[in-house]
This record gives sequence, C-alpha cells and structure tokens, in this order.
Amino acid sequence: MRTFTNIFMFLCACVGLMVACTSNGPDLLAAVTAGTWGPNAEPSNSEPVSEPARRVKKKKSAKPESNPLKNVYFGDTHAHSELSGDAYGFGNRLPPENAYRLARGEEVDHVGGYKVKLKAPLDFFMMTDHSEMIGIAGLATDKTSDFYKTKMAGYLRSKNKADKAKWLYAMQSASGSGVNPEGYTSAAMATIWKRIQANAEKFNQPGKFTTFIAYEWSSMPLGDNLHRNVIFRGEKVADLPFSAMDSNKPEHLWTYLEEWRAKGADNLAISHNGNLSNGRMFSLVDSWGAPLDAAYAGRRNLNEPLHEAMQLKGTSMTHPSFSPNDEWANFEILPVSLHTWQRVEQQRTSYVREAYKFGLQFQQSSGFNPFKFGLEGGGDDHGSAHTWEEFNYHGGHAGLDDTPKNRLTGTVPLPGAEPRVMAQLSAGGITGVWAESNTRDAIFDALRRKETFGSSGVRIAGRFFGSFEYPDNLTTQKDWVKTAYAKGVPMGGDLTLDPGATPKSTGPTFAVHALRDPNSAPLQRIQIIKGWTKKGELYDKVFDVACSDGGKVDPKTHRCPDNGAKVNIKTCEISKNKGDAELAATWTDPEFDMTVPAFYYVRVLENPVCRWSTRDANKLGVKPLDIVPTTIQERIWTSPIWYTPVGRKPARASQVKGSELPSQWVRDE
Amino acid sequence: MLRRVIQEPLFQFLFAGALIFAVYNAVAGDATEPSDDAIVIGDAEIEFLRAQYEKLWGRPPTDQDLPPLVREFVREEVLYREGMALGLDQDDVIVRRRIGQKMEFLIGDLAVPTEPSDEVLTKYLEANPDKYLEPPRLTFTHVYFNVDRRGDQARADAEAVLAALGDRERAPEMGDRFALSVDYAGKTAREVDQTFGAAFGEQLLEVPVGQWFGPLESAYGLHLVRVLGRTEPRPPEFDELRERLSADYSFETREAANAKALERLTQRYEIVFDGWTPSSGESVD
Repeated sequence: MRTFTNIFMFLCACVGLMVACTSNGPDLLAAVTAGTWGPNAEPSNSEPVSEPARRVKKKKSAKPESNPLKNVYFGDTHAHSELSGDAYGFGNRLPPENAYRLARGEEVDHVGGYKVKLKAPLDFFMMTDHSEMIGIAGLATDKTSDFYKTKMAGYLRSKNKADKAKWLYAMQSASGSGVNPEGYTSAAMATIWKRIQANAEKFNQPGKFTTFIAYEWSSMPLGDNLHRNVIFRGEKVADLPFSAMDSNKPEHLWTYLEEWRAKGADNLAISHNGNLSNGRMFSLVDSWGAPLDAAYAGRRNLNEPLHEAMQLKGTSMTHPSFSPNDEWANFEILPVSLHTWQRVEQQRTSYVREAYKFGLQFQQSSGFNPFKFGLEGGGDDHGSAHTWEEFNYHGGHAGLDDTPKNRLTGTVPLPGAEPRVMAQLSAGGITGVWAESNTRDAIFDALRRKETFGSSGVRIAGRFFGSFEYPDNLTTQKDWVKTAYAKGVPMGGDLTLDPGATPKSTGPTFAVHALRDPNSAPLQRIQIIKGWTKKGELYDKVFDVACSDGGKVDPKTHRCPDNGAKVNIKTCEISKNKGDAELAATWTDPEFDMTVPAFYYVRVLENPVCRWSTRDANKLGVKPLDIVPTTIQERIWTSPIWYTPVGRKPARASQVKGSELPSQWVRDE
Repeated sequence: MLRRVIQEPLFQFLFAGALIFAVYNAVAGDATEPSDDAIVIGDAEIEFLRAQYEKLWGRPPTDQDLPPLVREFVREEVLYREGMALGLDQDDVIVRRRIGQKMEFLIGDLAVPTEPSDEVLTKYLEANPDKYLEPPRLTFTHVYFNVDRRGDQARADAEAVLAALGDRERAPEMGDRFALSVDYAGKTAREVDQTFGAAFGEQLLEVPVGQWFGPLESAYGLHLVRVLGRTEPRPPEFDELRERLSADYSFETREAANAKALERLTQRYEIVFDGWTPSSGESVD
C-alpha cells in the first residue's frame, strides 16, 4: 500500500506542477518585460528619442540644374505617423521614416501587416504630425525622457485596462484644458521636435527628393475644423511648434509665424478641410466676431498663401448645392462634422469657390481681398504609409481601414457617426508646383507665390497663364511658355487695369495646357472657372476651353461634346482611343466687364476611372456600394489669376452679403 | 481484495473527496456570474466624462448636462460587462485581430539597435550584392508623334520619318512638339517609366545603342528613340551607401528580432491538424 501512496503523492505533485505551468499569458509578458526576452529590457515602440541628431556628412553633389521656365514637381504636404496622438490611437506604431521612404519610392510596411509601394514616387514630401502633445506616447516608453517617470506614462505602459483608461482620461483632460500633462514639458516636446527635424534633414536630397520640416496646428473651436499645416523653408525653424493648446485662433498662429519669420525662420501655413469647418474656415468675421478688415486680409494672405482643397477627408472646392450649374461639382464631398462625424448642414463659407467670390465682394466694397489664396492638395494619411493612387489605395486611418472590408463597411468609432464613412473618404490628393528646381528654396518660393495646383491624386502637369497682351494662338507658337512668362502672369498671379486710363473691350487672354498622368486616364477637357461680382451679387460660371478627341466647344453652352469615355465596372478597363494625352487652348473671356473684379482658375478633367471603392468591391466579389459613385473623374485645380480694376473709388463699404453667421458663434474671450 | 481496499485510509480519503466535489458542483451551479455587480461612478469617472464633454464642446458640462452623460456611461458599462460574461469577445474576428495586434506591438521593437559599425555594414553589403547595385542609366533623345492628332496615320508617319532620319544626332522637329523634354541624360529605367508611362524605360533597356529605333509606345503616343548611352549596373561606393545600409540593416535586425520572438512564442504551442493538412508540404508555423 505504500507504493500506492507514493504513486498518489507523485501524481499530486505532477498536478501541482501542471497547474503552475499553464498560466501562460501573464507570466510570458512578465518575462518579456523583465528583460529575459531580447537584448533590451523595455519595449520601446520607436527609435530612442534621446539619440542626438547626427550631423550627416552629405556628399558634395553637383548643384541641381535650374530651369527658368520651371518644371513641375509633385508632393504631399500632409501626412501623419505614430507621433500624432490620434494616429497612435488608430493603432499606428510606424515611425515617420516609414512614410518618407514610401514617398521616395521604396517598399515599406503598412499598419495592416503587409507591404506597400507607390507606382510613381513623389518629388517632395513632409511629415505634418499634430503638435498637440506630439510624440507623447513614444516618450512614455523612453527611459531617458522626463515624462517616463510620471504616473501618466506609467498608465500607458501598464498592462491593465483600468490604467489604459486612465491614460485616455489624462490625454482628453489635457487637450480639453489646454494644459500639457505633468512631465510633458517643453523640453520633452523639444526632443520630439528635434527628431522631426533630423528626419527631414536625413531624407532631404536636393535635386532628387525635397523634404521640409513641418507640423500640423490642430485647432477645432467648438468642433469646427480650423487646422493649418505649418511649413518651414529650411533648416532654421522655431524652437517649438505652436499648438492649438497655445491658442486655437488663427490670428495667434500668425503672430507666431510672423515672429519666427522675423528671426530668420521663414515659414508659411496651409489651411485645409474648409468642408469640415462648419463655415468657419472662410468666415466673414474674425475669431472675435469682428468684421474683417484690411489688416486682417494682409496678415491672412501673407501667412497662409494656400488652401489644401482636396484630401482624404473630402474636397473643399465647392458643394453641389452652391454650384448648381456645375455638372462636375459633386466630387468627393464629405459633409460631416470633424468631431462627431455626423452629417451637418453645409455653409457657403466652408468652400473655396464661395470664399473666392466673397473675396471679390470685399475687394469691390472695401478695397481688400482676404481670400486670395492659391490651391494645393494633400493626403492626411494617419498610417505612415499613404498610397493615394486610386488603383493602389490602402486606407488612411491605420487600423480602421486597412482592409477592403474595413474600407467598405467601417466607420469612425464614435456614437452616431455617419455609417460607412470609410467608403466615403477619398484616396487623397497631392500638390503640383512649378519651380526652377527640386530644392527647398525653389519649391517653397513656388508655394508662397501660389504657382501651384491641387490634384485629386493624379500627376497632370497643368499650366495656366493670363495677360491682356497674348496673341490668340499663343499655345501653338514655338517657345510659348517663354512668351507666356514674359508677357503675362502664371497661376497665382494678378492682372490689373485702370478702366479709366486704358479702356478695353476685350477680356484677358488665358493660355492653358495640360499633360496627362501616364499612370492614370487620358484627359477629357480643360475648363476655366470664372467668378465675378456685380452690383453686390456674386456669380460664377464654368467654361470648357479645350476638348479631347477633336471636339469643339459649343459657343453658346461653353461645353465640349461628351467624348463617350466609359469604364468597365467589373474589370476597371477604360475606353481605348478616348481622350487625349495633351490638351491646350488660348481663350479670351467673352463676357469680360473691366469695371468689376473677377477670378479665373483652371480645372482639368480626366476620362473616368474606377473609384478605389469599386476596386475593393471587385476584390471582395461584392457589388459596388450604392452610397458612393462607382467611377470618378480625376482632376486638378490651379491657383487662380485675379483681375482687379484699379483707380476706381471702392463702392460704399456695405455689409458683405452672403452666409448667415452660424448661431453658436459668440464673442469668445 | 475489495475489503482490503475499502479499509485502506487512502481510498476513504479519495472517496470522501469525490463526494464533496460532487455535492459542491450540484449546489454551486454556474460559475460564470459576474463577480462584481457594482458599477462605480466615482471622481475618476466623473472627471473622465467632464473632460470628454469639454473637449467636444469647449466648455465644462453644467449640472444639467451630467446626468445624461452618466446614463450613457452606465449603459455602456452594463453592455460591456454582460457582453464579456457571455463571452462575446470570443470568436470575434475584430477582437481577435486587435488583441493580436496589441501583443505584436508588445513583443515588437525589443532590439533597439545601436549604430552599426562600418565593418558590420560592409559585411551586410557583401551579403546583399544585388540589392545595392546602381541600376543602368539611360541617355537618349527622341522624336514624338501625337497619336490623338494623327490618328491611325501616326504609326505610318513614324516609320516614314525613321527611314529618313539617317545619321542625325537629334531631330525633334521631324515629329510633333513634345511638352516634356526631348533629351534625357543619366536616367534609370524606373525614372523614365515614371515620366513616359507604359514601361517605356523598360523598353529602352533593350533597344540597340547608337541608332534610331522605333516606333515605341508611351502613354503620350509614339516615339522614335536614339539611345546614346546605357551604363552597366555597377556596385556603388560604400560612402555613398553608408546611410542607406545603416537604415536597412537596423530595419532588418529589428524585423528579425521580432520574428524570432514570435517564433519562440509559437513553439510553445502544438499545431494539431484535425481533418486538413497543408497540401504542398509547406510549414504553417
């Protein structure tokens, strides 16, 4: 019987051991974090922040060639990495380096766990992480930072759910109160800012791939989007980014920009997503509710020469309800609030074309125009890997839309959010500039003088010039671009006339030219969109000026004939032999009135292609969604050329007519 | 024999244990009810709701605003706990993937590489000879034929011009005006593809050097090309490459460390095939 007992004791011992050995999860994690797994003790999700920015010895390369007639360069002015708080929240742990490498043409990681690569790399690029508590999550795991030792940082590193929730509470309290959390000092922010600068320097290759040091100021008063991206010209930058926690008023941002510019850190800001601003972006009053004046206009135009009119979260050019006579106005519209993601009623002062018209009205009645900004496009990807090519789109919100299924069915995890909003997002846009060379100075100058155009993601090289002196066959002449620069102004420029001194019966003449994107569809038509004001009323009109496939513009309707280009929805093949590789025209405004101010900008349309959502539906073997179009016509919009009559007394300064002020705007200081 | 066993104290012990176990099981019932029925609305919770509200509305909530917020919070908490008790987190692809992702992040990035030395990088370069080869670079000129304008006649026009080109070094005027450049120097095939589309650069890698050839097709139309020079792929200077090698090496060692950690974790599990086996003999772990 003793043997029996021994065996029993032995069995008990075994059972005891088994129980002790099957508690896997917690013990394994403990081992991982206690340093018995891998050479380093602490899991750090990014490069050590304290690594000093190494002085990279740049090989002495030949000065990049300069073309006085300018070349076209394409870039993205809006991208996020794990340094942005919201990107981190979407599951993005990829560093900015990932995004830079993708933009210049390499194959890189995507948050979804696969690799991505662009078909056509960019010429210039910048990372624009949110400045509000920038990089705070990375600092929480960096032993050398001050923030590491705080309770809040401990919450992020902790494994238990209650602590993770406390981290979130602390983040939200901080951004709500405008006070940085304890331990996230200026010194902490400075280490992240230094790392951002080091990345930009590391990837900057003059002549081949230009980068800029930049960030995003994420102001959202009462949930209305007022975001601006801040871009520094060169190596010399501000000590710290100015964030929306310092102030959410653009006027205060401008003060910061002006002060640093005076100290030699040249910079400019680019606002975006007027469509999500609830009318606030191009409001007819300033941040304190006072009517705009010449001083405001001067500061706004100086500090913010451009608006990013197209990106993942929709197009801000116009809304179909405000442009009922524009057959192409309903393009990648996202009419939601940025903070609730619910549909909201649209305001005129959210949209570019309306803002341009209001600007003319200010010009006519008061002698200044606060909305003389140029146009460009961006991505706003939050996954450190934006693929904006319509045939190569992999989402823009990290874990929220990284698969076809998520993109077609997913939405933002907020109560009451617009359902299936991910499907309504665009693949995003890019910016085109005309600059002498692919270098920081040349491209920055192009941004500042507005010789830029926004694109819905395609590399159409669009040219636009205006003058009262062009011959009417300019674009057929040899070296026409040289003549165009010599005798007129490019996109972003101004034409003026003194009607009293030099009465003209014919309007300005414009030269337009567009070259297709070799990886997208051929061109369908070039249009000029004109806006003007007369007797206090605002007008705009779309004129087709160049048609493809030998078509001619109808002189009465100002429309090209439909070229019949189609898309096979199942295969995404497009019509062969439809559309042109290159379009050009010289056009004179047949309805010119020299006594009133006007603007003109160019829109170039491609033949239709499958929308990204159609491709995803095909991949999944399901029917395309009915809440979004199955095809889109990719396009570019150039910065306007403004005509301003001079030498006339402005009309009696009257209240600018237009949108009603949203009722929740109150004096707020 | 049986009587001897029953008299054995050990047997009596085991029997008593089994009896207690059976009785307890019958009486205790389902062991899955939630252990804690209290939903606490304390300072921390109110602070959270306040901060969330303020972030949204730009002002703190008033006393009227709070009760609906608390109601919503309680509702969410009840649903969450009931859901967990019912095991709704199991068999949910989203939850599964999210937890896997979080685990991946935890085990990831354990190897924080120090700056690799030149010796390490040189060895790395030697181990990856093809990856860092300088690609062939093309220098060429071309004559362009606009297919939109010439239509079906374009190819015949191009062939006619090809016959007439002879020894000319460059002859852009014999075709149509081209909006981009007519002369290119030192471009890789990929750069040419980006400019011209339609794998134009790839085509130029095959074209004979030093003579007119075509017509070749690009996204813009047809072209006659004369490739003036085409360099061979060559290994670049180590100095040129150092930064790129360092970045790639760091990236790879980090990936390798992560993969190794995941492999060690996987080895603790036995993968059992129950009715299906991988057909190609491929390993699945």
